[in-house]
Amino acid sequence: MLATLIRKELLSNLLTMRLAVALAFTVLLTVLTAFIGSLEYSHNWDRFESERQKYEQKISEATVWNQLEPILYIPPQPLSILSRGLSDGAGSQFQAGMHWMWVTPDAVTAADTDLMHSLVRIDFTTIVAILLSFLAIVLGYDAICGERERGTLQLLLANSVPRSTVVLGKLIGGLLSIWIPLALAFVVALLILLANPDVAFSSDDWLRLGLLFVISCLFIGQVFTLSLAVSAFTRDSATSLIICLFFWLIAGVGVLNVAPSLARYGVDEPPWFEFMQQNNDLWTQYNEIIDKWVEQNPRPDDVFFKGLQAEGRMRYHHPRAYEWQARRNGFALEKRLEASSKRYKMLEANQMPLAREALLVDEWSVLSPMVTYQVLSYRLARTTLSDNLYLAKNARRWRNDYYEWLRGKGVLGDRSFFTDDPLHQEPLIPDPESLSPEELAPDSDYMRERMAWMKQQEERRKTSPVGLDLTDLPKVSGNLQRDLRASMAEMVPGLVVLLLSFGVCVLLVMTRFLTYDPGR
Amino acid sequence: MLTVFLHEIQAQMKSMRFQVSLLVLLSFFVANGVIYSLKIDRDVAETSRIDSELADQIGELAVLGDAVGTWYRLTARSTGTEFITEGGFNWFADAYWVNLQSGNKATEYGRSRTTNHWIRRFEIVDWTLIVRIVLSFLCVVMAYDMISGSHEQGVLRLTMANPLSRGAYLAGRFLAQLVMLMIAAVLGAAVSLLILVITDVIRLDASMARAIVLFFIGSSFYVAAFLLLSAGVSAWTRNSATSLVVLMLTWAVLTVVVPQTAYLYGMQTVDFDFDWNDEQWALRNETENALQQDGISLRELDRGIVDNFALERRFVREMADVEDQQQRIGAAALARELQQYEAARAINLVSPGYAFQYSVEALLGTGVARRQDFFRQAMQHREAMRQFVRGRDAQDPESPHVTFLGDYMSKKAFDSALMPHFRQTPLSMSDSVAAGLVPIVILILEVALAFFFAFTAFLRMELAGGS
Repeated sequence: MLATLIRKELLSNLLTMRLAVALAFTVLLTVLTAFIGSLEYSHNWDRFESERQKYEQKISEATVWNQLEPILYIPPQPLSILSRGLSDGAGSQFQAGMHWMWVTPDAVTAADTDLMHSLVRIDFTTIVAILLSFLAIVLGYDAICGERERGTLQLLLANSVPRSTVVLGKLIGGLLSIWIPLALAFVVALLILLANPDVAFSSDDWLRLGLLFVISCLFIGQVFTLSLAVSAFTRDSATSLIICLFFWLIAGVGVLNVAPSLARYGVDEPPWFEFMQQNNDLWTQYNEIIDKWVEQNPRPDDVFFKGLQAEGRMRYHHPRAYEWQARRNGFALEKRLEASSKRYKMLEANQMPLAREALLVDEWSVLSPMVTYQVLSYRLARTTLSDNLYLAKNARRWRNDYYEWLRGKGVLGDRSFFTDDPLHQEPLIPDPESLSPEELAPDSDYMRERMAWMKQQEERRKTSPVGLDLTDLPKVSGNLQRDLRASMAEMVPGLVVLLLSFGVCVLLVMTRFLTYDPGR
Repeated sequence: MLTVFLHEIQAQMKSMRFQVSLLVLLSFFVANGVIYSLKIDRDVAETSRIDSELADQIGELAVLGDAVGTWYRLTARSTGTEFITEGGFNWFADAYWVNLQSGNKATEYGRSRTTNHWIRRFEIVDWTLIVRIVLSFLCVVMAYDMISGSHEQGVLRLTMANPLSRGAYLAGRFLAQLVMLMIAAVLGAAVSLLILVITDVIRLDASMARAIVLFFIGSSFYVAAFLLLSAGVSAWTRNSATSLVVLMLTWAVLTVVVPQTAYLYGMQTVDFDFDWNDEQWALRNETENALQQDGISLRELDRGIVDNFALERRFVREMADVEDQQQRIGAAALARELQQYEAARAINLVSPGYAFQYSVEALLGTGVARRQDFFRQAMQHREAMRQFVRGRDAQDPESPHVTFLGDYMSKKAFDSALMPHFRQTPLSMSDSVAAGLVPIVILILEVALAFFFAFTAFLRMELAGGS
């Protein structure tokens, strides 16, 4: 009996022209979204690869430690095509710079400008959250009160079918009629993604994809039963429709836009330029410390520093200059690292309130089924702010390892940090003290001759560059990104709300229908 | 027609649908009022601190040479009508750093106000957003059964049996709904204004009134488009349930899907590379290195005076060329950046929502046109500062007059308060109109199209059937 009822519901839903067309249209849109997303992914992937190659080229050409600023590259996530979240899609990077540590990783190429930032972007979850949920409402809003209005409910109940079977039939039939197109859309979207050679899902990604589908089904089911419940609590379909539509408007569009706007003002945020001022002060302090050191350890005359200085590398300087520079570095680089820690603390104090605001948006998501669903799928795709913070925390640990390693090698206070001149390299000006100021003037014959000599030397050295030994460069220890278990732990509150409200709606529909008056 | 109009208004007033719509609209406007009273408050505080910081920085300049080597941050100002339409105030570059020193980069641009990049995927609830999304949704809810509902109840045939033309009937009902929805919107806007005035963050003056009137003119066109579309679909499908599904999907595509694909389209069609910034610096460094190898570098003052600073002047000349090239690179990048955005905007314009939004932005003198104008004004200001510094320097006979190298210019004390003061001026009327021309024409065309559709659908509608 139940099977017959389910079949009847399914057929009456899927064979109605308008619903069939609407569902087909939504599937088409999902597919289109996946297609555009896939194109964009390839585009991003190319950009990411070219950036990373540029970096690897640079690293392989580095001849002094000063030129080496290791970067952690996190490739674009294929799952972000379906649920975009915060990701720019282009992958991210974390620089182990001497001065800066960031609160979250950067986008690899900041290829979108402040103009483009003002635009909103679509993904699979938007289609599900906005369009499919609307169709779920259309399927559910008159399932019970509509039949009452048409008088068919009385007829149906006149048969010897228990009411619980009738309502179960409606429930399951309705759920199936929306899950089938959802599954179809999902599979086609997946096929489109798999047709793209740049998209490679790991086994972990497959698990996440499976869960994404389950969550989408649960969400759509939740909205459907919600509208079924409204239908069971109202007497006529017009009222039921109004309630459902306004619920959809408020929960979807309303919470999605109002909550983030409000969240910015729930937290006291320090202005950005306050940090810029603090940063300026920090630089002043740093420079004062260094100036004091230079006062105690006078710098050799400028003539000792004549030579080539480009791309973070010194060549053909006088050995006395190198000796002084190495001593200075031994002192200054440690101070620089200290300052970078202080700078990070200030940056964190400035940015964490903003992060808090953004996290509030995710926390408030439980207010609306649509937003709950979106946030859950972002967590699965690891594209939320919380995932970015997690990643950056591990990346900062890796940066510390890197500088520990440099320290261990003893290069911070060594000339190999800034020059690749061999120990007995002839400097540009071998004996500065014997020269008169006239001879040292840039347009003197002597200087012209020496400059020509330097050019010659440079030509010769171009052919035999000596790279750095990077074989034991520290790698990231442990997980850089959340594993599935950690992601699931993050999802618990949202999942609980989703399942609970689904369950409560089912119960409401069942109990209410048992006492529903089918009379016209 | 008047009878139809009045009857429709009465019927709507009593309907639950309208009452709930009004409530929903009001709550969105209340949210707008609350959000903006907090936002404007914060912005005023932040802007005044940014301004006073610049004033302090200028105040500390003791001699003219100092004024050359400084980076000045010129800041874009709010229009005061952000609560009506944000116009990119949240995201667009609002700071332009300029520098006069030869051999430095002349300009940079970016953000100086606090920006929360982590919630950038959401829009702020301004009036345009409420009208663009919520009010258009209400149009659909109010009018999806305008014709089909009456048809299904059998009222339509009876009504049309009266000496009343179909056109007049449709016009009467459409106008009634338009008036009702616009009244609802005006009420909502009044509540929002009330909150903003009570919290003392805006002042109602003539220009504000003008902005509000322009906004409502734009809104009524937009609402008319959606109402006519709904009426048309309702007449065409002759069935309310079908009409609702068709309309909702159309609505979702026009207000949600189309605008969200615009970004992807812009990114796909126009490639924008940020390397131009590095390119500018590389150009400068290469030139300096080349000059050094030719023996041209800056010297101590007492050495330079021997040949009247010939090397320094040569340096400045070469660097002026570099600056020209840098500006060309920068201008090309800016143009490309704009081109990318325009591509995305072209997609957005398919949606009446954005035709409406861009029209309002242009009429209120904000949006991308204002951003471009700000950059222009900032560049002009840089020129004015250069003129000022050159003029002052000429008055000092002891100065080596190497413009613009701070160390080789006047060392006399000067009153920095006399330096030109930057204050962004509003977009000129002609620029506003130029920026708004395309969206306004498209909006009007869309209304005309919807009008045509609604009337043909209804005039050709088969009245037989119904219950």
